[in-house]
Amino acid sequence: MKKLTYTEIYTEDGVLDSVFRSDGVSIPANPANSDYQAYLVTLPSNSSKDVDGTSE
Amino acid sequence: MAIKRYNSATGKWEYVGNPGSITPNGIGAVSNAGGSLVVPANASTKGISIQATASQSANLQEWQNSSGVAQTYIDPNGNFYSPNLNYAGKNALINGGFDIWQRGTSFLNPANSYTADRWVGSSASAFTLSRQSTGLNGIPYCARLQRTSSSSSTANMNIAYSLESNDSYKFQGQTATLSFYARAGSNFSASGNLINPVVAYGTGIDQNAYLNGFTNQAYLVNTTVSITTSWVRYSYTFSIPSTATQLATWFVSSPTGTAGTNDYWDITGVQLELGTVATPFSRAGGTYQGELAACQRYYQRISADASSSIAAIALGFGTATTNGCALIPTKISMRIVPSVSYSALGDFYFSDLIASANYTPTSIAISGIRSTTTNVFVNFGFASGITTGRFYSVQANVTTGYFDMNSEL
Repeated sequence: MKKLTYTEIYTEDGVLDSVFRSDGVSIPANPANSDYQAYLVTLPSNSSKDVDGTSE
Repeated sequence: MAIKRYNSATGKWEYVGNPGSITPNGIGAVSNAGGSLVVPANASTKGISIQATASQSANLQEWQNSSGVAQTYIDPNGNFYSPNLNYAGKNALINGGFDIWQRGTSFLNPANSYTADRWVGSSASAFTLSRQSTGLNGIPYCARLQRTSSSSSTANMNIAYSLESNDSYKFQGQTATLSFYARAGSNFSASGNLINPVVAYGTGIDQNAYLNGFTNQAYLVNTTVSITTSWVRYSYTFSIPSTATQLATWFVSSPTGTAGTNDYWDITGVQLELGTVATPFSRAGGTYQGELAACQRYYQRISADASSSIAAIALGFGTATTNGCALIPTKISMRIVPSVSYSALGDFYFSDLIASANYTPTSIAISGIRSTTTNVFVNFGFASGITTGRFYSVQANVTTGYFDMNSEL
């Protein structure tokens, strides 16, 4: 199966708004969304990104 | 209370049943007008009470046919059973009758993806999951899991359902019964014609057991059953731990050898309910509309379901020369803010009703922070031409254009 990749989309204020998955699915940066949860799993373990979509 | 009946043949009043088993607490009135009528002595007196003995195992009460076979009854635990006990919510599995197929009615090699609404299909290759007719009264459709003819792939063919936690809690510490109808194709190749029904539970929240596994996942049912080429209903009764916060069921078959033309098996009428017996199949939503609405909590397709080629699916708004946005209402409230996919960029356009011009987007992306479970905020990108502050009619190709809103587990 082809590996999925993600493109992060931010608001003008620098807040993560959504993630675009390479199979064409636009994923809301919402911790309850299972696609977003799957995206979070792909992040490096030392990532500072919180599940609420913010970055430190 | 005692029950007496007038016997017109003897002209005498007589006790009904064994008088030794009836406690005479007094009686208000007894009618002999072709049967027995019990009227309590006063408003605060019970009409009839049936008290179980210790360790009661037989039914407390039955209504029988002329052959003495129970038609409707109350079991020793006080559960009421009737052949027409059909009500919304009895069956915890939405689309157990495979009535709803919003994504399509045939899927080639679904790879752990949703097929019929709420049901995940999977196999490594040479596999089609499709909707078929059953010939069963009241359950017109089934899911067919078929190996491609002449294929030698022996990958398992699976179909799976995970309940969200909100629908699982009522089973905590209870006895439940899983039931389903199944039949095999004439070339069904699984050894012994076996399929493998599974019920699992976990202690997490809103996980998908089949795709990702439950937290502390354990099996309540994990067995095999030999199916035939005729429809047969199978059922399994089991106890659910009070710690269970999620349930799932799935069915697996393992093909062997080379597939013939009819190497398939069908399943439908899948029901998970409280109680120790399988009652007649009932749709979770109660009606077709209820079932569709229940499915749309997890997935829905937004399209221009109208004959007009300029039918709008949303009202858009220009935010810059190269940007616009639109708030797309969902048909019903979704489980969570959904993921969004769409047919193709070329299927959509912003229609400028003032300038009589149409603009095809170059990108479409959901705004997670502006969307809700009832309104999905979508950002559109354009090459140029959008007027800031102007409203646009967001239109989709009537034949091919759609947005898919996905809130599945």
